[in-house]
Amino acid sequence: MTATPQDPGPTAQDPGPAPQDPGPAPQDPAAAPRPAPRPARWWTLLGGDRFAAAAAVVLGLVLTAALLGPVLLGDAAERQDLRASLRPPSLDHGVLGLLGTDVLGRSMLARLIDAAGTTLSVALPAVVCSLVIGSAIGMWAGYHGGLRESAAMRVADVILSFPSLLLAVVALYVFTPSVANLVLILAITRIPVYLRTARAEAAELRSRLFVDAARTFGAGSGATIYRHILPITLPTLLTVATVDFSFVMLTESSLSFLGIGIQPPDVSWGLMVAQGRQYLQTAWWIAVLPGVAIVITTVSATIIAAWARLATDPAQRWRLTAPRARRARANRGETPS
Amino acid sequence: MTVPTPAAPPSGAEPALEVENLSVDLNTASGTVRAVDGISFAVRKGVTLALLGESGCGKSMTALAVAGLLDPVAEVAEGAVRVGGTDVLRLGRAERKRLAGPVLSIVFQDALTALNPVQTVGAQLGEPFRIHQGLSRRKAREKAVELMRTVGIPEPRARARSYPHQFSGGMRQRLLIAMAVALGPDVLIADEPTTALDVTVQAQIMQLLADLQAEHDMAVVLITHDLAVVAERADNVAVMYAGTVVETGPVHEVFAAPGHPYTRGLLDSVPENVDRGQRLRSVPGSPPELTAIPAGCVFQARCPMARDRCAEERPALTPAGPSRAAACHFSEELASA
Amino acid sequence: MPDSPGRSDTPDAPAVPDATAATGSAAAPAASAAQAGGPLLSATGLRKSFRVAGGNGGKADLTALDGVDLHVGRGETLGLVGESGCGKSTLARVLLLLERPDAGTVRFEGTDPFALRGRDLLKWRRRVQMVFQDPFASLNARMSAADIIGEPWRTHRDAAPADRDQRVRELLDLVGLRPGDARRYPGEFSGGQRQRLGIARALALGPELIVCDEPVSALDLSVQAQVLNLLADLQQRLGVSYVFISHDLSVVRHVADRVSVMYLGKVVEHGPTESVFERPLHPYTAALMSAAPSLGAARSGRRILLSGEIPSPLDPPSGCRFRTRCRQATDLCAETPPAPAEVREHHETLCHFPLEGAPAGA
Repeated sequence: MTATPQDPGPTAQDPGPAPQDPGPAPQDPAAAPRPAPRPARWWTLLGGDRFAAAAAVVLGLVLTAALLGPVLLGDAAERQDLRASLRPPSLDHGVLGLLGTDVLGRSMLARLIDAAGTTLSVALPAVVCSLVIGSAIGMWAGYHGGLRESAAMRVADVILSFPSLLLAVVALYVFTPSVANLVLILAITRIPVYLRTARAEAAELRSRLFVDAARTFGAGSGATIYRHILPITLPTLLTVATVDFSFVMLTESSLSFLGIGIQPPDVSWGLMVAQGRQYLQTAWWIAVLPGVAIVITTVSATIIAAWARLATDPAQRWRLTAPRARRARANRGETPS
Repeated sequence: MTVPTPAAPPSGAEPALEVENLSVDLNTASGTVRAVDGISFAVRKGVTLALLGESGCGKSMTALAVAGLLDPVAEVAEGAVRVGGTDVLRLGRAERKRLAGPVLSIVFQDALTALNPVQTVGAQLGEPFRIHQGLSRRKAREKAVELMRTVGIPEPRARARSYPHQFSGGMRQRLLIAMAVALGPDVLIADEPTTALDVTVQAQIMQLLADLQAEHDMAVVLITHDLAVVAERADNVAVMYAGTVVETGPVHEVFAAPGHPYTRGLLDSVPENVDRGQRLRSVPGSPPELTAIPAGCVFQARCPMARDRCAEERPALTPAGPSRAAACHFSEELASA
Repeated sequence: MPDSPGRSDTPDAPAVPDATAATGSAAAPAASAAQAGGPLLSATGLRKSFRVAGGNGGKADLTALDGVDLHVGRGETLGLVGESGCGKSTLARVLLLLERPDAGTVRFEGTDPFALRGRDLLKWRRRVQMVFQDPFASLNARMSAADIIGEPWRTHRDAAPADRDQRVRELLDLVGLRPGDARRYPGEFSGGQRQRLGIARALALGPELIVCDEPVSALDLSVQAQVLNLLADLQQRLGVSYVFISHDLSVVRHVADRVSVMYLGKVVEHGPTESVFERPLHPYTAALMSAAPSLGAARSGRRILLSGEIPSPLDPPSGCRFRTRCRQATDLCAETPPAPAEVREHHETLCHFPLEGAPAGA
């Protein structure tokens, strides 16, 4: 006999607004019927968050400057003019004089733009390399556990037990100080940060039921990590990476200061801070402006990371589309419940 | 050990606990919603009232409101909670505190989180005596040991020095009950006291509660989702749905001839009442979100007998017979069907 | 416990030298053969223990399964009842190859799934699926309903339908969800709907056996009935078999054709549902049924109230596992573990003094 269910199924008659509605509406009676069932596009979400949008614009500007700067500026960053030495920021000396000049009369603006390229070309590859390698090993170790986990963790401990600056100093004295070597050293010393984070998250996720469910289909460990562990761990890792981004920039500047990082005439923000330190009393802008550039860039990256964390989580995404006032209330209300 | 099932309820005159038109507002991520909407009930000494309902129906919120433990997630919007004649909602914090224990106390579902993990159970059980009766540490401990003996914990003197995690789930629940009845309250609220326990242990705990109730002549409010527990352990029942009471009355009358289609639906959903292989008559759909309670009858969307009137007008809890009431426009029709 | 005095009473444990104290390894397959023309799945003498940190800083063995036998015929539902710590969830995990048993055999239509590798193992995986207890934790909250249901096809590419979207809609329809739900995320579904989603995922590969581990215990009563009806419909329509694990006796009584009652890693009673519930043979089964609250107001007045709680599986009692809580335990029970005995037809128990004909709790 064929079972034609008399039970019409729960959803067939379900009156609640929840079933029809894709995003925030279950929590949100005020938002009237929302016809488009698709989740909002990411740029719509970005536009809804003023801070994240501003941060994205800043990061875009920095990237553009780093990429196009050398083309647009020509040799402006190296052109010396001793008569214009230590000019404070002012509007009187054209665009290049906007942010003042350094002791050799070079335009600060041009040097900042030039340094952006160098800084990013060291920090970005270093962060990306350590992120990719550290996370991959960490998730693999955490998911499998046992011997593999112990081995990976011991290696991480060994790397961590050396002060990373010391390691870099030793290595860069032995090898030629070049951008490639600098990236390599910075990447290796930062791997444990991601390895440990990824391992902890993966070890926790490995015992979750949906991972068991994937195993009952016969999904291999690689597929399970890719489908279940990575998407959940990634936002955390990206947040760690943005924080680490500033750390790497500062380490690079320390190494440059010691003379084993970026070699003049190349210039990076960190190097500029280091060089400007002796003029702090007389010409504050030489050290402060590159410092401000570092801070603005890292803060923007952090804001974007926090935003991405919400935007990639289906359960949290509604916070980005909800009107501002309600969101503020939600943030206050979420702690006690 | 074999024990008889509890006898019929003794009758008293004045209700020990009277809840009148109680409403509770819950602060959620997306604003304030009404979790409990104008409910009333009363319990006399020696009588057990069951608040029966499914998750999210507001039964636990009601318990917390009565016990004065709503902060900070929710607040009482209106209504009165009279314990022995005085409205506890009008009392100040200090006066209220004096009532907690000697007059009204509560047993929670989750015994592990309700006990302090870093304090010995002897000290915790002695606390009510130290606070309310000003006993010395030594005397309070004696009382605690005595209490542990009454709730059936073997070797109470030695076990008083143990910490909560050293007890099994059933024993922890006994400890919580011991703490609640320590000062011989008039009203005991038991919020799902056996939900986390195994069947054989659940039977022991329910028996313990019944014994203590008889001994102290307490009014008990038993909050549960389990129809069978209600059938066996309660004298009266208030069936809750979406924040309202939809039916009240003596358990045996209500379960024999329900006056509300929701009660009927619940009873029909119990597999025990249906032969093997037969379909269960389930209630279609799921309860409405608190943010989307319909204007008319709260149950209309899942009700097999819903008509136009149900969408327009919310039925009041109207008396049907000497001790029963139901909130349905067509409860007479249901009774005769 | 490896050294418990139970080694002698299984002369017939096949191919498993350590299958001690197995419950009736001879009787069980015979019974199933009579019923269903060869079982779809059978397990014999399953044992599994875990190393855990012991009380005094050392390591101890937690015996989760201690010689468990079971068999499931085609289109049949086997109910597994027991309280926490009885090993029923470990048994489910062994049947799904999530844990490897220390001893014992699993046969699925005669083949041992633990011996399969590569493509053969993947093929086998399609035939046995699982529905998990917790509809919240068993779904990845970051995947849409369509991704969740379609996940098995990402591993089993050759089993994937040509039109995945169409098949996802069909599966959603089959479990009583709407096609439009495919794009929603688990957080937007109610508990019952999520469990339907979990069932749809289990059906994606067209399994012959579904192991349901407490599939309705996290659900409200009215929703629980919907899901039980759904499982019954699917069985009639698709002919799947179920191993249905639950602590709720009324649910098991409603869905199961045969019932196994577990206590501390052993099956203490096994038989046809009616026989087990009407006339239980093992004192534990009788106590369990008596303890379970019931709507039937006409309880006979006396209920068997077990004293104490389940002993720690780290240190199970000698002899009969249940003797510490059993009213009729004797010295014999402390010394010798009882051997399985078929007291009535297809109805066997692990007790020296079965309650033949004793009145049940109701």
